[in-house]
Amino acid sequence: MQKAIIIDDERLARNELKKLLLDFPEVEVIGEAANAAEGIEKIESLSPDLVFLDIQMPGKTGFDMLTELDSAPHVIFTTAYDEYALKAFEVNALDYLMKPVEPKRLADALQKLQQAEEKEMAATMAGINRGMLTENDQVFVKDGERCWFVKLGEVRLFESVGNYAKVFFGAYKPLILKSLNALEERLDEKVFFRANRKHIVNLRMIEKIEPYFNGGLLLELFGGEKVEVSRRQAVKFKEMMSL
Amino acid sequence: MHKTNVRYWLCQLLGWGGWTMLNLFMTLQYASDYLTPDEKKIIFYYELAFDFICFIVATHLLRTILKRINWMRFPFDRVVIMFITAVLSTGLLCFYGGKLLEKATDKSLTAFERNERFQKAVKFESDLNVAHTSYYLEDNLYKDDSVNYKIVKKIEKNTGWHRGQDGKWIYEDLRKGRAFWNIIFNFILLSLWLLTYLVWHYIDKNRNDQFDKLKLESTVKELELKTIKSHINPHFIFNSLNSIRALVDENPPRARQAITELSNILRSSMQAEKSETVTLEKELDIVKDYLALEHMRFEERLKIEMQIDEDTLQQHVPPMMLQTLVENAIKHGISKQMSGGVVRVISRFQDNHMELIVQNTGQLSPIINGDGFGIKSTEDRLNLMYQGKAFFEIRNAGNNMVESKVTMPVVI
Repeated sequence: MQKAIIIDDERLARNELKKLLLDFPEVEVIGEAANAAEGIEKIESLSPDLVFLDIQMPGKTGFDMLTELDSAPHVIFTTAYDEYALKAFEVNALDYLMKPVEPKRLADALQKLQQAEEKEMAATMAGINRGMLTENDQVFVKDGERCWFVKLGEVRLFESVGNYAKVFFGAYKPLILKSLNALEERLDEKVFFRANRKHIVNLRMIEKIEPYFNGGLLLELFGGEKVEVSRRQAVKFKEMMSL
Repeated sequence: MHKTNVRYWLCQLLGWGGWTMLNLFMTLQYASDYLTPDEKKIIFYYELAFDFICFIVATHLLRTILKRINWMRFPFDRVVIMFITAVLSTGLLCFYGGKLLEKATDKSLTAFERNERFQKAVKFESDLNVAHTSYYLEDNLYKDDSVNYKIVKKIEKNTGWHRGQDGKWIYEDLRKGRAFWNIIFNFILLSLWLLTYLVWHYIDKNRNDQFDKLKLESTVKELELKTIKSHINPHFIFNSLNSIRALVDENPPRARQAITELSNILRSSMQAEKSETVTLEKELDIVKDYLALEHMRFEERLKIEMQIDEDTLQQHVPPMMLQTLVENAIKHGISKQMSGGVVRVISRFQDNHMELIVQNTGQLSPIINGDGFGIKSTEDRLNLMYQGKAFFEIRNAGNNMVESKVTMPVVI
């Protein structure tokens, strides 16, 4: 059973979607929200498996709402006609639906979700306490006009830039509004290592390790980034690696 | 193409024909004694005809070549070089072509004159009674008291003929420079012809370019007007359809009504392309349908107020203009307000003008102020239709309210 919530500013649109979902007993609608603020509240209190999200809403858009979440749930976007918004979505959105929604398309989208879930289940079986983000958790990143859902496992490096953190993945390095300390608390320390004050590196993404001044280390990542490991952290790093 | 050819040949015939006629007239008028006897006159006619043919053939050849190489594409300096080459070659072609024709037909004034003078020289000799002496021999020429010398000079000066030491007649043309000046004259004539030809085409091309430019401008304007008119927001259409779908179960009568309203809007947006203006009454029908549909979507978040002066209903307005303003009031105003707001439509007469006003809750975003497609296209439409007699403005009107206003001349 999938728990879903619907976020859309139009009551009729929410009703219509609820009605369509009656044909899919595997999905249960456990809540609704009419704007982004309500949406965040519902997502945090109900922790749904799936969110149907309208993009154009008063106040914050659906995109803005997602960037404020620590970890993005599975999202199916619903929109009437928005070339512009859909263009932002070249990269790995689960799916989007055009209103009025065709039942067949809805079925496809839900099927896609199921497959994604199953893949994840296998990986997540390793067992983790809730609240800790795993490699399979995704964050929603928006940089100007472009948006991505990024699996944490794909991130090579977090770099602190004032109140923001720069996220390095693929060929991109957008900014997210999160401090490095807050990130460190939520990230799995077996995978993400605090190399120094300014950087958290993904240990699976290290290509080369070289000794550096003062007993420090210099890590070279697969993307070519070079990160210095401070002396104090280098001791910890060697300890972890020797296990 | 056919028309230009006819014009070209007409110009050619009139030009060269006129020139030949002028030549003929002037010669007959001022040098008629030169053209006696009649035989000489006939030869002169022949020569005129030869010139006429040569000029036409040479210039037509030149035109064919110019067209073939498409001279218009060359830069100015290349055209100058081309001009000089063309004049020199056609000038020489005309001259030698004429000579060739004279020779071929044996109708040459020069040859006739030569012969005429020979007769004269022989006559001189007999008149002076030296026909059977060898007065021309050098031995005799200077031995005597130079009477013989004087005779030789006299005959030569008058006729160009003199006897060589062997007694044979020798001819030296008295007007040796004639051929040279003929060629120069050809050059001048042909430069005039070519100059006329080139200038004509330059002007023609220039005029065509301007015409093309004007045509393009008007096409662009027409297209702009069309796209502005048919600009109905697809976002609105699909959202409405989605709401209608939800209403089918919830409130069937409202759903049916909504379908009618949407049909009206779609129909009038298509018809708007056909007419330049509509009555405000008709425009308001669409606006009301549109607002009814938006009210169905936004429900209690949208409040609608209409303040319409009955007398303005028969005024003509650009189709879909008020509609666009209302649409923008919803899109940029109400749909961005968490708790919704009011859209107020006002039409009234004010200081000899008609005013259409749309007010909505919200605040004008300073970033898009004045540059958005809606604003720009509304201004452009008013300018195209009323030539600067209508105005559009959009501004913040006090307490969290945006007002867009169209001021138009009153038509009675």
